[in-house]
Amino acid sequence: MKTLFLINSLVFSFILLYYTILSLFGLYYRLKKKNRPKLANYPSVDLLIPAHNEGKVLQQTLEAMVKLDYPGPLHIYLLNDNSVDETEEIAEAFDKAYKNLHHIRVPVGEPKGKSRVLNYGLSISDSEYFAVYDADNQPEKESLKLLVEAAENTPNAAGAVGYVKTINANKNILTRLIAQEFQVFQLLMQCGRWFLFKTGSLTGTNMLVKRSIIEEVGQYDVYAIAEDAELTLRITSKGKILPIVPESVTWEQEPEKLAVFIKQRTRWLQGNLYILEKIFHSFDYYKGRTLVHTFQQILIYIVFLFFLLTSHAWFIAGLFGLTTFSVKLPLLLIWYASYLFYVAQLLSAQAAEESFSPLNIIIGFISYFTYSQLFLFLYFRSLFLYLKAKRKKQIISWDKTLRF
Amino acid sequence: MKEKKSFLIITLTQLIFFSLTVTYFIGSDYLLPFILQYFILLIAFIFLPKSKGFILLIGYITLPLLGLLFFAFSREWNLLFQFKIIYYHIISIINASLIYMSAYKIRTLQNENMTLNLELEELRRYVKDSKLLTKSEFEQRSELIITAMKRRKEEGYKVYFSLEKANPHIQKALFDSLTSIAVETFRKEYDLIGQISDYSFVVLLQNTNQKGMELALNRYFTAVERNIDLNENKMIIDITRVGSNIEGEDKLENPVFD
Repeated sequence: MKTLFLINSLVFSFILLYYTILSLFGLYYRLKKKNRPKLANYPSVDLLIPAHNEGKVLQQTLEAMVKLDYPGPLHIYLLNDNSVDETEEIAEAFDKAYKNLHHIRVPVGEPKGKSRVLNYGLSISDSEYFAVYDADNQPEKESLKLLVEAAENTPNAAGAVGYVKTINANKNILTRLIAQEFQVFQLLMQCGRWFLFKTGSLTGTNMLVKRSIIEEVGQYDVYAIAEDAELTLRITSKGKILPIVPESVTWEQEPEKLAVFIKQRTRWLQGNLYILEKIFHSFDYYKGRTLVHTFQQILIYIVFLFFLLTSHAWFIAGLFGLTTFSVKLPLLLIWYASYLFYVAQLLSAQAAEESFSPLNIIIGFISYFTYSQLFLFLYFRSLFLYLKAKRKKQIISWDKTLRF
Repeated sequence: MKEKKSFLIITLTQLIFFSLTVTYFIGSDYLLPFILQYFILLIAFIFLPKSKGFILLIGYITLPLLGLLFFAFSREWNLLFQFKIIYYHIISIINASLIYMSAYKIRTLQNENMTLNLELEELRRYVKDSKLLTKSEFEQRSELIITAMKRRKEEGYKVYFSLEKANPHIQKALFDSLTSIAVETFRKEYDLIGQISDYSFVVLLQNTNQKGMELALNRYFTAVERNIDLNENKMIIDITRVGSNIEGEDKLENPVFD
């Protein structure tokens, strides 16, 4: 038993070390001034926007899309997946007004979800690159140009990945917490991994991919709910890289209610469980740079989870006086270090984004005890639903996030 | 004023906390290393740019912890000693954070003042981010230009564009697109562009005759039609002649797109 706790403590310390290094290098990369030369010729880009009942947000989205400052040929495809709200009307108005914006009605089909819609979008377009934006996104004017410049200027790049910011961050405590999480995990961790290992992950939105790569690795997996992460693994396994471009920013709406948040995150986690399942079925995921992604998946969803559970169980057993042994381990210091690293990451992200405010700092300090603890609940909820669907041989449905 | 006050509070807190640290919070064994660290950080924060200073601060907070963890494992520190180490660490990071805040507050104040002055100057002249003149700035400038044009016996045109009758879903997008192209097309020629209302704007073409005005508008519409289907959008255009021999504004026959 003592050995188990020693291993537990050492693993936690190792995870702390790994994430501290990632954060520091991520912060360095984020704040570093980058010199990206302009291109003589900008390649053609098709911008794909899957939309299902997005009437609440679509107008602002398309307003931002037509404002994109891209010097090369650009076509915007609004892929309307059988919407029954205002989506049709708004998309049609923009289609008529703008020559390079096309309202495409996606045929009914199974399985439902973003992957199938994107595959349809790819089948009706033919540019050199394609970019994906979610239907609630408002990219900044330069975002697409920056992605293309990064993809073209980076040898062996399969595309590029930008940064997603929360447009409704100040709405309530939940949206502030989500915004901070995005700042840390999307920005610092992605930047850190890119800087250290030259690996980037597609984020599902504000991302650019070379069409020739899709021809090589195959289309989106229609059964993958985290289609971006799944595609990342296939792209990386071909030896290609995805540069991270934190200066390319899109603004996205995040859930304002806990129920919507839980639904969204359950879907994401189920997507990651699907990827874990794939990882355990093929050796392709353990080669070259793919190993970094595989290691990341296993570290979070298996190793960290296992040791977190052990640690929680030990803590609870201790509270009820059920532990009958004592070990000489610096547990208090490990806990203090974990907490401090976590807070330092959040504050670093706030500094990088210049989003410091008294409330955000307080949220940074309490997030560990509140928001982060949801992880276990969400994980087991997702696992339960995932296994249930597997047992009944059902396809996991693609729940759209409710807009506000 | 508010910023100056917060700078004063941070600096005072920094000094008080430093005094309390050296007199009460830490023992004499740690005094010298602490003071050394303190002044090294102070000098580093003064000379390093803000971003690098912040990386140093985060490194100062987190990296020693890794060393402490190593020693804690290897020397099997007891609970009491761990508490003591954590206490010292907290005192150190509060001091470091206060030095960082006060060192960079001065620079932030200076930069903010400069940026605010520039932004205020811009806002007085232009509608936010669009490079369109505000209605009042446009009126003021166009009046001066028209008076000068009259004196020099030149003529010019005011072209009013309105999207009031366009589809409400695309009004804003069209307005932004059309004004951004107008800024690119006309401002190169030193003409003025101003916003009249949410969905209408005006261009003052100076020192040009009707043929010149038509050429300028054709150039503009060619640029617009690269991406926008004007036939599909109800845009109303009013043109008035201004300048030499004209009292007020002389409205021309208007082309109407619908």
